[in-house]
Amino acid sequence: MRIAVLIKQVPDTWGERKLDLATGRLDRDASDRIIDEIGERALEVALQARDAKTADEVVVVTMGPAPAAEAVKKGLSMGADSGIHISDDALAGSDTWTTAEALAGALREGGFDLVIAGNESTDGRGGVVPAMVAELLGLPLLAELDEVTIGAGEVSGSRGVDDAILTVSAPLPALVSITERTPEPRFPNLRGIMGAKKKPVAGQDSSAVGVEGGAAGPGAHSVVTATAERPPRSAGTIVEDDGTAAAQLAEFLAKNRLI
Amino acid sequence: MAGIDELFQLPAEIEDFRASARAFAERDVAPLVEEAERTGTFPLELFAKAGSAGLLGLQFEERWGGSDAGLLPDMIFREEVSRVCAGIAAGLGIQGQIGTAYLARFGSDEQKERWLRPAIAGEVITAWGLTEPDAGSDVRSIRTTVEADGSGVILRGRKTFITNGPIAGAIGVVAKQANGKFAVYMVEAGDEGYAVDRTLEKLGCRSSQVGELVFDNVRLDESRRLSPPDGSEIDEILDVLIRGRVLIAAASLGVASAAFDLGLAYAKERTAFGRPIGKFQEISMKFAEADARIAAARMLTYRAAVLCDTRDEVPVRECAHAKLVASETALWVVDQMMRVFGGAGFMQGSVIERLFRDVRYFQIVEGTTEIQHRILAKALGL
Repeated sequence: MRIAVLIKQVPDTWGERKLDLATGRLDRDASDRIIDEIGERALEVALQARDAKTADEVVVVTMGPAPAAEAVKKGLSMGADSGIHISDDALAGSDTWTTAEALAGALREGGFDLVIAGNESTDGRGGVVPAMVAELLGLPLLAELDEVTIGAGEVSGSRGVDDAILTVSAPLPALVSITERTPEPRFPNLRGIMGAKKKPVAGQDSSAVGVEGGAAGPGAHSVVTATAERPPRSAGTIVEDDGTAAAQLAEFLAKNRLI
Repeated sequence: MAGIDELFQLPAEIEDFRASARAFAERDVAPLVEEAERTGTFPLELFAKAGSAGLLGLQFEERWGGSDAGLLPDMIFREEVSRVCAGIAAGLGIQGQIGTAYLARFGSDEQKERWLRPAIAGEVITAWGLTEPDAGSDVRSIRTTVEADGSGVILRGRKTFITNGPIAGAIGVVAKQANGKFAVYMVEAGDEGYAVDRTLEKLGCRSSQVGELVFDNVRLDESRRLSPPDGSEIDEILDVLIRGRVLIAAASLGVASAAFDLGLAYAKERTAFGRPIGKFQEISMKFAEADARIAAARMLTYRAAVLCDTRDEVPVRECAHAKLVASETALWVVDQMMRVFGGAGFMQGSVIERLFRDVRYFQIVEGTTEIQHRILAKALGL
């Protein structure tokens, strides 16, 4: 079984995240770059399947500018067997649909039995790319799984909803997206780090993945019309407890429709 | 000849490994520190976690589950976990060096299968039984003995200050044999006649379990003997300690860095007389001096680790430099940071208060500062 894992390089969640106001795009130099943790968890699900001998091969797939190679390298250090890095200046600033087209293009001929992705990234937070990739590839989608079981010809799992837990399954090939309730990812160990250098990474450009016209091509569905600096935080209100603090707090919450 | 950057920069892979070691320390160790230190208990689940993360056998051969990567990454691991908790780092650190180094060097394949593989996996906790109530720095004067008895030996004696002793499943015990040489036997937790006399209460590093162990006519067969039949020379016993000195230097760096980072954040945040205290020269000079001293200690420590990995002979003098300078630097830095915190640092429960207690460990273990002075003076012909 071949599993593809979609990973994404994002600004460090603990650092300051900024937009480049001139382009409306993410300012990738404003903070450290890391693999999105949800992508590491998706990789952990795949690696556990390989540890259990259910899967034979795990491939990490990403789209991003040249530094995203670091994310692929970390995925290989964690244990993935190989990587695919889609990188092309023409794809800079791609919207979610174009991104999904590029990822689907890279996956289409790969012979993958299962694609695993995080449910949403910590930068864009669109949460739609896994569904779009599934649609483009004609795969069944099991979205937002808190727990995943990978079998020989089937993948199943559960998803928490308001007052129940849904158990879902699909025959392979399929695409699943996972939540932060799946197990914590492993750390790259020294052997993994040393071995990552020798693992193959396939570079692909926009024509290789079949995205005509890149980010501004006919696949683009969204246009950024304006950007603005985030307004500074207001000072807030300090409630002094003169015996009425609880009532004041309740009133504040009710007024702001928080309760 | 290598360029200057190559000489003074760690390889990229080692820096990547540091990121993993730091992530382990911050994600898996940090949440357990407060309770472990308050109750004086070791969070035993960390052995298996560190084992499965490939952090316990960094120096040992891959065929036993290790990484065969030498002292350098082990030193990085010790430094990073010590930044978070010196006590827990001490317990985990025994597993990859003091508790297993002699076994890895002299043990047979059967013995390595029995104790080294599970130690690297974090399934068996190990300890090294050398120090005795009447023999600390003066290793030659140990009184624990092995006496031949049929196909095996009888082990008699008492060991003290044994890190991991109270929780260990397998302990390498050093004893005198009839010919005056040293024997090393593996004692297991269930062996008849072996007992943990008491777990010792300590000033610092309270989460590490340090105990006094008693061997009351423990009968051990040949399968437990790690040393050659006619015994080990004292140097072979001490080699384990000498390399271990680099790890104590690394732990010192971890504690010094932790104190420095805490103090720096506090000096920028705490205001007095209308400005952050770090803007007063009396305070800022402490950081300038500490920054330089930590950098110097780190250079000596990393150099000693690289020399241990690249030279056939143990670099005794360079290990002593690293241990001496790093442990005394850590003591100085933590003391200075305590002054930055003032009254807040004197209160029980603050992190700087814990570091102030923990840092006293490093001038004592793996050869006291005075022993390092003695080694260096001897090397100078004095």
